[in-house]
Amino acid sequence: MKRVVITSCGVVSPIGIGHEQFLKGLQAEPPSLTRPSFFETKGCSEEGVLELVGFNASDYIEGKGLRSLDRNTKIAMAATSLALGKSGLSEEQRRKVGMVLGTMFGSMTSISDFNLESIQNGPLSVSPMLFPNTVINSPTSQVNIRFGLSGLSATLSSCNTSSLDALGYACQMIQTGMADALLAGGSEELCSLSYHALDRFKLLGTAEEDHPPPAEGAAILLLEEFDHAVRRGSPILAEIRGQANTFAPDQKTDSQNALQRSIEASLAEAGLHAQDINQFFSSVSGFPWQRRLTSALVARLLPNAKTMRKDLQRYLGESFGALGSLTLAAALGPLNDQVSNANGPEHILLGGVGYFGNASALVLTRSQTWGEA
Amino acid sequence: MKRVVITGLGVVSPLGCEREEFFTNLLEGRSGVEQITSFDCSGLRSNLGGIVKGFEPGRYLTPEEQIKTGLSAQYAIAATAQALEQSGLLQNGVAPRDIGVSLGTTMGEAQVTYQIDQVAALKGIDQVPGQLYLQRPPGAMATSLARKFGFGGPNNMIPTACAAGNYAIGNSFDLIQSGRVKAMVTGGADCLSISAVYGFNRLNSLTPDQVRPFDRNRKGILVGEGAGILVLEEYEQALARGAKIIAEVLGYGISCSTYHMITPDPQARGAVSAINKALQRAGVDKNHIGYISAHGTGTLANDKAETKAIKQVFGDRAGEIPISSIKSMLGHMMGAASAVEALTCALVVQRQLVPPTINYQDPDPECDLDYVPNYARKAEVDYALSNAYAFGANDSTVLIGKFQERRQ
Repeated sequence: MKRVVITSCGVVSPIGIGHEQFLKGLQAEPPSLTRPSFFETKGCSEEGVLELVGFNASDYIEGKGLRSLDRNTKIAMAATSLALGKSGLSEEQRRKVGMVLGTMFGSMTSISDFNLESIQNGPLSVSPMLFPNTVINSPTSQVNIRFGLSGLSATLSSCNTSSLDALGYACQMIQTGMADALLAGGSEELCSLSYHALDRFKLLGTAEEDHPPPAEGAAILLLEEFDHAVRRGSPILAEIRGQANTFAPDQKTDSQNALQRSIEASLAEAGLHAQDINQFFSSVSGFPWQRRLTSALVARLLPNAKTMRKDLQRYLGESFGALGSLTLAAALGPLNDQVSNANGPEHILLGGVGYFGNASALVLTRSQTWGEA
Repeated sequence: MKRVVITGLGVVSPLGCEREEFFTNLLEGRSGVEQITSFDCSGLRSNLGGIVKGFEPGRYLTPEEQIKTGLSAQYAIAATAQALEQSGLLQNGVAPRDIGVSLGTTMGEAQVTYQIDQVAALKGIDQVPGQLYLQRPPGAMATSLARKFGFGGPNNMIPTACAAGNYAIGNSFDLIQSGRVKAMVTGGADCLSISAVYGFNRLNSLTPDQVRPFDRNRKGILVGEGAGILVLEEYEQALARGAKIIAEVLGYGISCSTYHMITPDPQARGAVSAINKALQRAGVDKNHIGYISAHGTGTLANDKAETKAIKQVFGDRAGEIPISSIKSMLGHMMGAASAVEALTCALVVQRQLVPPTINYQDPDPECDLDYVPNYARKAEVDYALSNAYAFGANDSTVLIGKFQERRQ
């Protein structure tokens, strides 16, 4: 089985843009919530959001043609640009790279705006320029096209576990030889419909009320086959040792079992035992009862794992399909912290179970070449 | 490496909501295209579509389940029920908890999305029924299907537009071949999308009458709907439980031309790469390919580029391979299209019968291969390729082989 390592990371998050700024943001005071600046929340609870205030994609992406892109695409593209910028890939190597993006919704705003145009002004009024933005894979493909990433293009949309599953899918692509290197992660935009949906199900609120605030952002990782990374002399941030996802057909009664099966399968793929895991990062948003169930399961199943950053949701918010990759970007911090690394974690498990019953787990291991890069 | 076999097929399509009815109609060269009556098409280049007829959701879902399940997921569930019945997977020995789902779609629940936007525009966003929000994420299609049958294995939704079915089949193939799971329910589904019809109309991509893939006078696509589902299993398990094996999935390839969001790469680089990856993964000599199910949308650009890709890969032998586009009969079933086409390849290698490309009258000098014009034929097909391309330069090919106990 080919080994898959992470060699670069780009993050666009309300707490910091760029991986270093993001990690600094995690050490700072919790970010302030704001009222959404680009959609109405009339009639909803007014609890605030974690918005990319003042985000300007052209600060991170060169060239023209950004205007017709939707917000989710711009967020994903900026995070990709940051990851590529730090990757050390040559132009030729970059062309062979592919993209695997997890997103729960694609761009709901693009789809709704397109529909609204026809509802209000008739079918002939819709814009042919904006039609391609209505396919759910649009953010992924726009990134492929912008950066000339011809390896492959895939989108995973498995609800709250979208980006963890996208990372797992990318690992599979590398392990089977479909690609040597892939950008993978998740991206999500804030929008009116998701805000109203959270309000409808009484899931708006602050972390203190056990509901993370609605949020947006993206984390894109460069995954490489181990030998490929070593050959080009790339620093290795961590290794993905295993990933698995499962489903809870009956949410209420099967969620815990589904998550347990995901954790066990990811450990088996990693060739590790439950007691090898040093830290656990909850990385899937779900109902409060699902988060409590996750904590109880981890305490029982992973005896040596400290549950890390219980306040993470206050920093990353309800970022839906992007949350898994944002959490992974956060977990790279302790794995690569040179000050504490001597006693730091060796194996981290990320996972959780979401609103719809999707469960996912991913095992991350400190690079054995740490310090040699 | 584990072998991956197909033990069940199910289809909901404009040519029938049962597998045998569907394949018989394909072989007879019937058209499933008819007038769209469910929404306003006045002023469009075409008011035709590949419409599902005779779908009876009550056969598969309770009234309460129908309310909670979008039409795309309903199609997928109906096709799954057929495929499961044929495979006997749940009757002998496989626990539903161990079965996974990987589905493709272009638009997800397009009708739900449109309904939400309609209510929001006309009555106010606070009037949108909560039930619609639950059907809105594309991933809800795969979870609805898994919930209905109690499937607890991997649950993946892969919305890679019109190539999505191939992606889902490829994903399922990987999961079984690597030993992560022993059985997958896979394929694609999409209901008729208002925004797709309106969008393709504004791109001038709708043909005013019939879909004529590879014909000199082809004028574009017609949007269709439906679902295609395949039950894939690890070979030893299928053998042990005495399942009747229909065909074998041998490999697949995906690539990205990066040329343009909508327009196919005239050099067909992604398409060539996808075919070559599929051949390499399967370990099949290209000279043994006996049939190609074309993406064959009926647009000028696609059919020309796809012909070029086939010529580039197969060289002088390209003209000897029967190639057909069943979109000539079904319209473009969006995220279901490639699943239904792969499913058709499984039936082709099993029965040694190749469906035609209908509406083919006038050969195009730039599309000069054997497109099986208008009439089905018998053919010796050990290996079949199913091509699918999509918005966003997603290129894919699945390779399906006739089942042989000992593979060379």
